[in-house]
Amino acid sequence: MQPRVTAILVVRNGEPWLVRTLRALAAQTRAPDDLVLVDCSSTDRSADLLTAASPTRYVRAGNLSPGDAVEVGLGHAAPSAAESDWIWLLTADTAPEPDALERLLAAVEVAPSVAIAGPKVVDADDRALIRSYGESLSTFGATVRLVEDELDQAQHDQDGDVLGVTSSGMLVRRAVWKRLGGFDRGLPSVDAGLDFSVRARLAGFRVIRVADARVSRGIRPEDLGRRHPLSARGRARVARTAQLHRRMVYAPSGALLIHWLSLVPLAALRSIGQLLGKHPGAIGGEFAAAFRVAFDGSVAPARAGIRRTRTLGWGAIAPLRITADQVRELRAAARDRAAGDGEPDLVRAPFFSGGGAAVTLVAAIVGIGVFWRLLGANAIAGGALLPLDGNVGALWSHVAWGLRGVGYGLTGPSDPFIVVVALLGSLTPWDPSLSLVLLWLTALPFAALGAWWCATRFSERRWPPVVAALLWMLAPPLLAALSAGRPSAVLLHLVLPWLVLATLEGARSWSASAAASLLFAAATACAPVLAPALLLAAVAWAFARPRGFLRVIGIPIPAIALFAPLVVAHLLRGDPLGLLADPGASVSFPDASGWQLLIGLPSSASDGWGALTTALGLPGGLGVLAPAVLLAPLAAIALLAVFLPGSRRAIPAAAVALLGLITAVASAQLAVATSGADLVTPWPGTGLSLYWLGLVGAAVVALDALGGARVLVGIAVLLTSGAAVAPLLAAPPLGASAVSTSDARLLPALVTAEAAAHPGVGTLVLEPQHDGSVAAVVDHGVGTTLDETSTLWSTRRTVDASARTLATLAGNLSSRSGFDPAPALATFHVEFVLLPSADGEATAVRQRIAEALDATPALVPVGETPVGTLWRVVSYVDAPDPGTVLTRPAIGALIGQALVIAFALLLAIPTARRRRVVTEAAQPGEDPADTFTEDDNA
Amino acid sequence: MPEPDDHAAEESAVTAEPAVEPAAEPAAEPAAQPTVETAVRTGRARSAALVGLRVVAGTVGIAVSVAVIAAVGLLPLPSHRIAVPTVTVTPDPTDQVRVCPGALLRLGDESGQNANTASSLGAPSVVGVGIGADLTRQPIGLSDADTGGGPSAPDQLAIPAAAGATLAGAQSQVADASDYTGFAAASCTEPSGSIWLVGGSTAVGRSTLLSLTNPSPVDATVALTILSPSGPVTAPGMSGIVVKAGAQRVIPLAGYAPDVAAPVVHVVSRGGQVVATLQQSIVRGLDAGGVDLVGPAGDPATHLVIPGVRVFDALGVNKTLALSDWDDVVAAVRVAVPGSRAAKVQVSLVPQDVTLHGLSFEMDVSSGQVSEVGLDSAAQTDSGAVTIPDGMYSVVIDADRPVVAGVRVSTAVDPTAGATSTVSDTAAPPSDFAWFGPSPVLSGDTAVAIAAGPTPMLSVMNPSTTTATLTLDAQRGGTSLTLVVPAGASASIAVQPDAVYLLKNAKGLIAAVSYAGDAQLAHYSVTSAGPVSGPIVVRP
Repeated sequence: MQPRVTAILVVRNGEPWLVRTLRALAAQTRAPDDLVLVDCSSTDRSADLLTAASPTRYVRAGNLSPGDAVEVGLGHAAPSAAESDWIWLLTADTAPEPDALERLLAAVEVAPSVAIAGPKVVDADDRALIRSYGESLSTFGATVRLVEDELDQAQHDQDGDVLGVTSSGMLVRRAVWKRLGGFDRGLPSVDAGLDFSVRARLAGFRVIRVADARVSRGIRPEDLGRRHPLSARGRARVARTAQLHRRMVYAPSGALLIHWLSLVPLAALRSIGQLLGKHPGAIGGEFAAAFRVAFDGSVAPARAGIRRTRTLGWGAIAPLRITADQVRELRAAARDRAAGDGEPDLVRAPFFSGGGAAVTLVAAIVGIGVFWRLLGANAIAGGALLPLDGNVGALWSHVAWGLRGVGYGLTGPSDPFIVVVALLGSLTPWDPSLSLVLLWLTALPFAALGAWWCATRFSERRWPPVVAALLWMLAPPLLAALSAGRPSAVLLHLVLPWLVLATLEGARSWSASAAASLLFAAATACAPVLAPALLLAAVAWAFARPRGFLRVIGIPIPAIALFAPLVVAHLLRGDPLGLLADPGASVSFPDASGWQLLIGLPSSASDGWGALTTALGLPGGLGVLAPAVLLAPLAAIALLAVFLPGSRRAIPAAAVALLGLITAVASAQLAVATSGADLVTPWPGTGLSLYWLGLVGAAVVALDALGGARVLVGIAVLLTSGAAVAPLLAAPPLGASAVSTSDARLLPALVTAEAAAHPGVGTLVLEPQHDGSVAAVVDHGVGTTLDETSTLWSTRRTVDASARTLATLAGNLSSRSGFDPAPALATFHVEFVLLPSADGEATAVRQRIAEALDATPALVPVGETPVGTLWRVVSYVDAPDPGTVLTRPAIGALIGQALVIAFALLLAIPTARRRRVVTEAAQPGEDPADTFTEDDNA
Repeated sequence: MPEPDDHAAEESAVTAEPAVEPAAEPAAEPAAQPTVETAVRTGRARSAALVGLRVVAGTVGIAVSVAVIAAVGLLPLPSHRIAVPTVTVTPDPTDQVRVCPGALLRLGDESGQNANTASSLGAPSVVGVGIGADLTRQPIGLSDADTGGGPSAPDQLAIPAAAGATLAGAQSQVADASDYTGFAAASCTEPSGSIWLVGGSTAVGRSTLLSLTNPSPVDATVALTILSPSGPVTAPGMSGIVVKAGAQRVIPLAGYAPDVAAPVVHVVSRGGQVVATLQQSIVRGLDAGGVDLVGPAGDPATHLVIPGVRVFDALGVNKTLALSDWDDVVAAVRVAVPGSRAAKVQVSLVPQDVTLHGLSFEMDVSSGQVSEVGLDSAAQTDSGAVTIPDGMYSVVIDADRPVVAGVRVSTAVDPTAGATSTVSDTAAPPSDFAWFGPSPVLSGDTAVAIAAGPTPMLSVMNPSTTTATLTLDAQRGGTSLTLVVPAGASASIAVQPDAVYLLKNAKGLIAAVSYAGDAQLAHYSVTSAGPVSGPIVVRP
């Protein structure tokens, strides 16, 4: 008897394909006996097309899942009781080839045990491209598509048993469909066919695929009825949901609870994997799938269904599962197919033979020559250099929100710079202060190294990156920061080229973008005043690279997370500009004039030319004019770059230079912090580093475009710029720099020894100021180390009650008075009073204070120390060690920041295959294509 | 961020290779397939346009650069300045203390025995008054000269803490022993941790005693630095000199610096603060040549003013020059440079009497050295003539580095002046000398005590550019007086001995008290209450 076939065509907004599908149905060599059209409330013209096709049965159904739609269609089909009746499941986009049904039926006729037959699903436009041909499960239950997106070369053309087939074009025995209850409602699209097949297998039926029957498919099953196809991360979410649903449904009852409990932890674990695999967008899907499956409620009915229909054990389908080895093989094959559309080669000079290594070596030698005085030192002091806490654990504890070590009882968030300091100190955990010495000794080679790598992205040739490396190493802001003892400015200068490199690359790679985000956080932590300029540049770059928009616009996120608590603290205090204050020690410096800023000098203290001309008795203006003339070639070539080919790179470089200069000039005008009686502006050198970056970038573009003249021009620029900074380079070896070796002690040895036993011991430091006033600070323990500094302290503007108490104490101690200092000294747990040495106009007030302290019966003179004159308080009240007390908001902020940083770190670890690097010489003849022109491919 | 561009495309455009169309070119419509010639034309036009664009961009770049450079270099920019947290602390008032030097001392007794112990020569006459508070007067309890607790001991004057209260004291004494003659007066001074003393000599016949008095309740540890014409003196025991609380130490300077004609002593005290005085006496052969007490000379400074330098009996002094060992009667200035660099010093002698001519000369003093030069060394006169006639002078010292200085003036009775004189030309006349130290600028109303003595004068110098009218408000003895001091000039007024005045409108003025009589000469500076008690600005 001829089996009866009911074709059920489920349509939801299938207008683009419907005509073709209906035509294909009409052209079947073996026409279905019954055709039911189910319109799932289409909103396009599908309904008109369907009615125009004058179908035998046409059902308007609600917005149903595909399985339910089939049920509705069956309800309207002619009733049937015969065992041999079939239903053929089609959707609007599945157009069977004319002989599809005939061949499917031919395949099932000979095997009565077969309940399900799947055709070869091919692409709608290219019938030689197999979309799906049989599915299976791995040992662990993951869906494995036996064939997916492969060219049909008849390599898979064997019929036979498979574990499952996709739902598109599936031919099912009607009785089996009834008995198994149709598709699982928990699987609306993906895996519906596979799950149904598995249940059929468990009920004792066979599932086969038929190679000769072809059904073309317009869209993926998960995109059915959607206005826009799902994105890759949407598909990943749907697939993951389906897999988790099946896991819960197939699991033995005993393991069900464990599976349920592991849903969310597993999602978190898999998120780490997704980050490492550079799929940050998939994380949301992981959690959405886990929660959906955990609380959906579709698992229980599905499990009941299986229990009801299963006649065989799970072992019955085991032979049809795919082993791990086969899975690996399938994946390798898929990777090989994808390898064809890899990324373009990266053209740059090789590091070792292309000058990178050589220029770093030269920089290292220059660095040792310039800072030979620091060789062998354990710590350095001078300028804003402070030692670090000797204990790495304590170093990291200062990262948290809490009681700051500076001043008296200041509680608040830490500066993000403290994280940088803690990282730096962790490099030499046995003596964290040593890391600063190493930073000074290696600053020049690291600057050259970073600039060289960065410049290779602007020029594929060998010479321009070498010039850039040397110019970056000789940058006046770097040398001035090294000479004046500005660790944050030095770190910023070293970070900037890497930040540029990672940001440029970040438009095409998640890994680079995450690295850029961490570098961005480091740069803004070192120089908050640079944050507006860097933010502006990042946003501009994001808009310039729309395809990498998300990757680039996310770069500031870790910085925002790190700064958020500090921003809140400053806003609550009504002092938003205080955010711009330099982190670290607040130390005033002589302001630079506008002309000095223009030649890259952040402070007139670093004015080597000025000192030279004064020493030689030349007119003062020459101190600026001479270096300006010497730097003119660099400026000229940077400007020239705008006229030359490559100006589309030179103009942004020039804009960066302008941004940096504006930042530097603005820094010099913004006195937001104080140090004793002095106002302190942010160090303009950080803005000048950006300024110099733009100039060097433009110069590299110009050198790249100059052709044969580039070597000569490069040498000329190098020589003149080197001469311009010669006095700056000469200052440290001649001992004229502010930085010198130290014993890492902030307070006299006696106090340090006492602090070892009593960490809370207070030392009142009365620092005579040049204006005749006195700055009073209470240092606890060994003194304020670099990791204990806080901009909340240096930008304080009001005098609170404890400040007033301290001032009264200090004022009376500094005077002959009838004041009884004992209670106030006890309040601040002061055991020592230190009077640092003073010079110039501060000597008079120092004399006054010294005499007054001498005459105070509550104090006993200890003597002169290298730091100053020391007194001990006769009756000292020991302080309890405050330790680190974490409050609830502190923990919340810490966890939030740690999550963001961990996210960025995981994402930054490079796991993808790197781009092939070729040298310019490897592509003779034609000028190599710029590596960035194709960077939108990613 | 610098944006790398399609630079290969641009380069090809420059070299006008028509075959390579830049990728940026929108896909040409298939209908209008360009011929080779049109391609060349569009290529050229395109490259020309690109070059033109770059020229425009470059010009704009240069214009922007020039504008930015000009703006940064020349424009005054607005700035944001926060206020430094500041608290001005007025110290709680405290007891004010002045300590007088005490009686003139000699080493050994009158017979020359016990040469290692000091003993007193009578007792000084002390005048002291507390203004606004009751004065307590108490002799120092312990003394090397065995005067502790007695009338010859250094007197400690004190008033309790009270707003606006001040005090002043001074002492004077006439020595009339065989080896000690002359008149010495001194102000009672505030204890200090750092005192410069310019005066004294340990040459043959000159003896100098250093008196250190510690009135505080804390022991003081004193370290001495002695500068001499040949540089700093090093000797054992110059530091770690303990002056017990409430005690006086007397130390012969010759123990550290023997045979130094021109020493300058710096006393640095830790712990309690001390009062230091030098007592210099001269014996020429067997003739006593005078005695004087040298008070604090103030801190090293680049500008020093010594008002009230009184020249008396210049003729008599001139005549004694012929005698042997009388060469140190010449009025001289002693300058020491404490720093590590040599100083160029200009000394000006300004007579108060405008009809007299001033003198001025320059001298170079090496670092750590003392230089003593006659005040008349610049005068071009025949020897034997009086170059600095009797009168009141101010000595102004300007240096390019901080220096300390003092002026020594002597007086001697003119043996030929009276017809009844029986003294021969070759015999030593009665004489005395005095050290004139710099006076500080007064910081406000200041009490000044006038010890008993011959013809006391208050000399005031007004360094400002406006005429000052000083009121001398008599607090004890005498009557209130008014002194007008013209801008940039000095004035003197005779004051009542054994009196105390409150100088009102004294801020910015410089004042000193001097005495002169036959073979009697003395001087001390007028000092405001120390700045230690004033308000101080604290940056918490």
